[in-house]
Amino acid sequence: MIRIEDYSPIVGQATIDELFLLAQRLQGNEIQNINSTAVGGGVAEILTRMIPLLTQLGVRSRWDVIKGDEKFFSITKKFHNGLHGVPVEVSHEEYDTFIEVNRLNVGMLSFADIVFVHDPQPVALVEERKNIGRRWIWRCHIDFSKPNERIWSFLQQFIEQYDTAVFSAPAFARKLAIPQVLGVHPV
Amino acid sequence: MNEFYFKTKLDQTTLLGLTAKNIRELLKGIKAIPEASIYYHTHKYLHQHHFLSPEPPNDFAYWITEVLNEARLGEIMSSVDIVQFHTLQDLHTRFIEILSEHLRENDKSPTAPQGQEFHFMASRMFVLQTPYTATTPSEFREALQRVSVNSLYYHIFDAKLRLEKGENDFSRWFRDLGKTQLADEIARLDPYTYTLEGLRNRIIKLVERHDSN
Repeated sequence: MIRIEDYSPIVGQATIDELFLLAQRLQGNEIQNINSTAVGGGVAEILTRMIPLLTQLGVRSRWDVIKGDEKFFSITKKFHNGLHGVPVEVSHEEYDTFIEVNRLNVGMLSFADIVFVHDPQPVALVEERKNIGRRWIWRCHIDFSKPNERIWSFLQQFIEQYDTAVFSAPAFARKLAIPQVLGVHPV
Repeated sequence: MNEFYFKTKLDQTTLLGLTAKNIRELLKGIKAIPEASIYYHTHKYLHQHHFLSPEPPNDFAYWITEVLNEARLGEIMSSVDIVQFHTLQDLHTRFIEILSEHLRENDKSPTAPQGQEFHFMASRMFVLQTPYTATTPSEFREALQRVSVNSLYYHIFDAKLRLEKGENDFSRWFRDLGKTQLADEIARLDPYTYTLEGLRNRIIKLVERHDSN
């Protein structure tokens, strides 16, 4: 398993020390990451490495994956393509199915103090916020520079329920009612 | 006892969701943004490329020159000497003056190609206490060798311009210790002409010289 100290010759010990200082600020909080797949894809690759590193820094953290059937993932694939500017049609029934699957997942999950939700698939979990509060952060890993406007406006109603949205590039920033921050580019 | 507490900082980059595709929109944006955005766009290169010296110009100058191909205006924007400004508000005002003057004299403004618009961002600072402290110049040197460049950056750049303390934290501490000449020598350094490691070594050498006298 990769160890946080293994990064010291690359980034310098001072940077590692600062990560420990930063981690102290999170004492008493548990961070939860939620995405839609345990293997394959950039998010799973990031979390596979990030969760053990966070634990070594002393930050309680965990990773949960939402469940969905073939129909749900065919809808989210349409979202993905549409957000990349590919012309797609999403029916009312498909939007309803998307919300319904997210609501079913709410019932199967327990939520931590800080909830990091990755990408559009689990975005509607944030509806639970009105019942339990907590800190909710939406992390977008995909290109949002020229999205299908209907899909964007559907997602926006959920995104704006988060405390913050994290994007990978300045060009992905949108006009939103919540703060937006720049995340680190995955290599 | 007058103890120096080394702090460090981490910056979070915030996206303002505001873009510009020509000089007129750049000016409109600059008028609307907070000082934290001026700080970000004038200091980003210094922090990201802290091994380069002198640092590349501010983001505005870079975009005007490289994307809009307005070399003359780009040069004027890049010649703004940040070290001469004591507040971000003054620096902010200077950029507005330059762009306003340019627009008064030039009706036509080129448009950035699609995908190369200027994206306004800002910087949010999180300050952390490090375990390093100093009560004497030699302890100060020891600690300065160990802290990260973020700590150096915080005490030199952030203290003076962003926190508007008038001078950097190191000079202020040495002044309080009665080491006025050393304080003045550190205050006179132009930190924008060094790499951060170069600046660290320069300050350590100055302290060393005064400490051995």
